[in-house]
Amino acid sequence: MSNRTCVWLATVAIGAGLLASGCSSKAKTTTTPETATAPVETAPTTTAETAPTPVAEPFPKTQVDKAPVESSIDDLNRSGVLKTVYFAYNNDSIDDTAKTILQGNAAWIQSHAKYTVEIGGHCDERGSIGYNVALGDRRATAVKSYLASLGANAGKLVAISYGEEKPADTGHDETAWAKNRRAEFLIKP
Amino acid sequence: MRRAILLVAAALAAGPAGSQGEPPPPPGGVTGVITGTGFTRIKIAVPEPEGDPTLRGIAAEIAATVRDDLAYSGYFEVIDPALYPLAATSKETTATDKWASIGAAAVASGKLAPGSGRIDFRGKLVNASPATTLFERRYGGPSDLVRRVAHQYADDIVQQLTGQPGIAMTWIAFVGKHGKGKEIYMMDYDGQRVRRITSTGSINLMPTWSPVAQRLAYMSWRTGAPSIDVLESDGKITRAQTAGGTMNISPDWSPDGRRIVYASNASGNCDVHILDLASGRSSRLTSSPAIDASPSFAPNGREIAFTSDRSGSPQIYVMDAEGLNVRRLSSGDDYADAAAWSPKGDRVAYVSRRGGRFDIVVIEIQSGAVTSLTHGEGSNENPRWSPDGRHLVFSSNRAGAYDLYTMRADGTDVRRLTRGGDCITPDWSHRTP
Repeated sequence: MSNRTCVWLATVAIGAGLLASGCSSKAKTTTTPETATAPVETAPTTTAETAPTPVAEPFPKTQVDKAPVESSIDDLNRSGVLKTVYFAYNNDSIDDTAKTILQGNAAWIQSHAKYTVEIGGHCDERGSIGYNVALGDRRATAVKSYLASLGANAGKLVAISYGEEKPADTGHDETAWAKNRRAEFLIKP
Repeated sequence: MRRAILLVAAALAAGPAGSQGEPPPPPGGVTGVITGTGFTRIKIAVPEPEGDPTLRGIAAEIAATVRDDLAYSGYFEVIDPALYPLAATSKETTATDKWASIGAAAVASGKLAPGSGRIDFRGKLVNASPATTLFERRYGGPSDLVRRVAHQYADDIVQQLTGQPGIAMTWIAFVGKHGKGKEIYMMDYDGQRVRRITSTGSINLMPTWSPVAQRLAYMSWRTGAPSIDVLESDGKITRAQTAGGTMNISPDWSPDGRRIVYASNASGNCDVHILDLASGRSSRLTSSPAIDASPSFAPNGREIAFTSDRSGSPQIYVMDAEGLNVRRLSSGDDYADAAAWSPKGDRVAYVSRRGGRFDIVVIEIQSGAVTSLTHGEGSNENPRWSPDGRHLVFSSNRAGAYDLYTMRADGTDVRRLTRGGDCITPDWSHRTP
């Protein structure tokens, strides 16, 4: 056995040990928790037929909904009231599909003006790490400008790029990449 | 020093080395500076240091580390330790002649003295023929720094026999996944002694060593928007006073360590800026409506390479350090980024995308000649030079997930430094100041 092999094996052993605690191996979660196709669209569409005569509610327009602020923000984010928009490869322009979605987002943001909204710009892994941070910023900034042009308060919108560091889908094909080229929203107090 | 080279060269020419059907060495002997891979390597034997049997483990680790350092340097051919007993039993009378009988032009031996909890090592480098002691030096340190002691000895051997400073005492900083975040790590240049040096719980990227001190600049999401932090060797983190905006990224130091060039969206668009650390003043160097990012300072301090997509796709450009005289460097690449200037300033390494993956290429500034150093073995990113310009460290997913590798500056002798994946954006330290 050559001396180099000895050292090499040592390298492997020590390196593997240390890295096991450090650079953990990639967790292969291929779930996409925040994609736009989540459960939002199921609730309000099936009520037409029964058409009950309006009954007077007791205590109309009670204002209790501003009490549990923290949990309600988490719930809002989880429920996906602000929908993710997607981009073409190496591109920061907002297409018609994205515009429609952003119009909905802008309406919600305007009617919930107290919240700050973070717009996270993301990229797929095909770009280089450095350039992708700049590209993610372009995407987030483009979305911010469009929302502002629709009347959302730009002072409450924060554009932050994450480059390719937070993929929605950790796969390595076009399906995954398409999900990762995105701007997603985080409602904050 | 020059004399030492000549002595070794003479030994190589005279000794029995390389006589087993190999083509004869090129005529003319060894002259000038040793570079590249096409020269005759110095044949060196590195026996285990002598000492008390209880120190056997340390002795073995010193010998193995020195052998690996010398082989890695590219200057040496370490003679297989399996041959060392042949030297001992050979019929030559002197110790150096015995070593010469197995082809050794030089011998790096040593002695370990017993020391409680500390290493007390005496290294001795001799030229085999003619027999000359080139140096004898004492090294010490806490017993958990055996490798560091060996690296120091190896660097002294390199310096003595080649006239060039070694790199065995250098480090590599990089980013590794930790929990939900990506933290800054460092390790010895050979991938050993990995340790995590930040605990931010957030994403951090692209650490860059200061050329003049043991400090790192990098970009961090620890307070939300990506910003530039400077980490001191005592662990203290300070936020660089960058231009503003919501993105300040990709820092690189000026050669004097007094300024940081970086990319920022402070002007509403991603441009290259430069921060003077003493005054805290930033000025903008580019003002195109395109993305201008990933700056790299030339070692002469007068030029900056950067990435811009002003022509449509990301390409490498060079400008003067004042932002003037912009000219395009890369051509024939679909997509180029991550420029890294070689320590001598004659070449720039960068990544070029081909068929959806990145290869590392090097362009010679003078001639414009481009050489590929990787050839489609996975995707290869973020090249950075060793301080002697003879090696590059980079990340590659050739084995699945991203790990760090080094290679010689001509793309040969690829070595894997990390295992386990999610290790990216390395940077090689300058020599210890």
